[in-house]
Amino acid sequence: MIRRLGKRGQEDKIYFLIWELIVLVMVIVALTVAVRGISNNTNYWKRYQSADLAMITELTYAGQGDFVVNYNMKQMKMTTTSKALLVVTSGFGMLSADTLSFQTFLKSSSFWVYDKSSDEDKFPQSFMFAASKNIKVLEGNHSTDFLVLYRTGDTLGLQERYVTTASLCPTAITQKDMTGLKFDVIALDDESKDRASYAGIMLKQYGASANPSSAGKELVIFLSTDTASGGTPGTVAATKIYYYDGAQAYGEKLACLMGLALKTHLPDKTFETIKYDGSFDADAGFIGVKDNYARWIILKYDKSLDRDNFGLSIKEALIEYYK
Amino acid sequence: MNTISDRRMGKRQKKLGNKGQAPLFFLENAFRIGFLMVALLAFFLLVNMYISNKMDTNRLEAEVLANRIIYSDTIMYQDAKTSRIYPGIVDMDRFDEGILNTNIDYQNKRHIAANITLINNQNGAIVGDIYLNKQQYAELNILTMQKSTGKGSATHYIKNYPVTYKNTNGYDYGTLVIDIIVPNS
Repeated sequence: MIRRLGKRGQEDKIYFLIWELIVLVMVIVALTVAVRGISNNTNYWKRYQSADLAMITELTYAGQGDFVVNYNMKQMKMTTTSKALLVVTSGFGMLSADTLSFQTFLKSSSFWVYDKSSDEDKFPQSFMFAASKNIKVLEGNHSTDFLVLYRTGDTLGLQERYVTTASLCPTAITQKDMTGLKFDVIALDDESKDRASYAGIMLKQYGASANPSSAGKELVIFLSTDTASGGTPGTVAATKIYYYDGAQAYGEKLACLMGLALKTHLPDKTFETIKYDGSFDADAGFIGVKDNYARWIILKYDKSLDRDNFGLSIKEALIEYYK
Repeated sequence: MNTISDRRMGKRQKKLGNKGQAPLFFLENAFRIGFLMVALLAFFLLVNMYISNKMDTNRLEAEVLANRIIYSDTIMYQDAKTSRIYPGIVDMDRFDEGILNTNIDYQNKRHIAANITLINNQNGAIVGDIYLNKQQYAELNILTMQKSTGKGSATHYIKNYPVTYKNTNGYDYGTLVIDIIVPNS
């Protein structure tokens, strides 16, 4: 081959190689785009969400009583494969776009799910459910990653947040005049002292903390840091609300109201109410104090919760509880 | 003597029209083209193997419909005073095709369909036989009877429930057979 360099027609080899390289690049691009299209295809999740919501709706029609279904789309994330392919084609900046969020339409007998904007999405996915003459469907659409599907009485609807606090929590009668009651907030660890102090100040104006000697010790709220979360990036820590109940659902109602208030003020966070399981029995600060009060509750909170909204939520929950 | 490489590239123009040139070119590149096709096929097979975009909800749809029939007030007895529904006790006054299709109303009829049959356990007599989306049931049933398969066809799901129903002499035991037919696509 070396002997032939410089001969006529030799440049054709270069052109051939260039064309081969161009074709190779085109094939690689086409393959990457095709695979990205498959893996990054939101149609699957749109179909999934529409079918899931439609079939849950059918089940609410089958059941007796009211239903509220919290439908959280946050858990649905893109696959590692699609992330990797996004990196290949779009750069590292796309890694943050890993949560799927759609526009969901509730119609008279179907759910339609679009990408972020219904104007731009030419391939929405829908799923039908069987309507009933006895149930009125409140049509609407929502663009959020958290939906609440509810059927109360003869109405079916979709909302972005909880329907109403009163209709969701146990209906135990807890109405009392707050001015004669004493509320305390006690920190079970050093990290919670600041929050406990702040929440305590917020509650003072409602209870009788200013004159504790004459007040009945009504409620103590224990605060404890969730050390499991530790502020580690990517860790999903749920704030746990422990309650204790006798025959009536007094504690559960308070925990429920507190969870709803926290969810309202801190919508990005997750909360769960748990019947007390003895987790704090070894804590002398808890065991020695709780029996001095008529009611108690423990908040094992995620450290990243905003302090002001945290205190505000506790205050609002108590007002609702004793209303 | 020209080499294969020369014939392929440098002297192609001069040699156009020579007999056997095109088959020779493909013969030379057969392995390359074959390898490329196998590689592409393997590539797409692997991608499709690990990423599934298909969702089969037929069985679930059938279960949901069956549960709706059994647990709702569509054909089951409901206490007028307490509004409580008694799943498993068929209210023969409501065992009616019109009531069934009004309470479970798929507005697009080309969807799921069902045949509900109530059979007396003692003598095996059919006490009642009603349809949900009757026209659709008839059309899809023909396909399944012909053993048609694929996306254009449908699948049967049959559920049996022991029930109690009221007749003129009092209450009787029966079996509610819900034959649900779901289009495959």
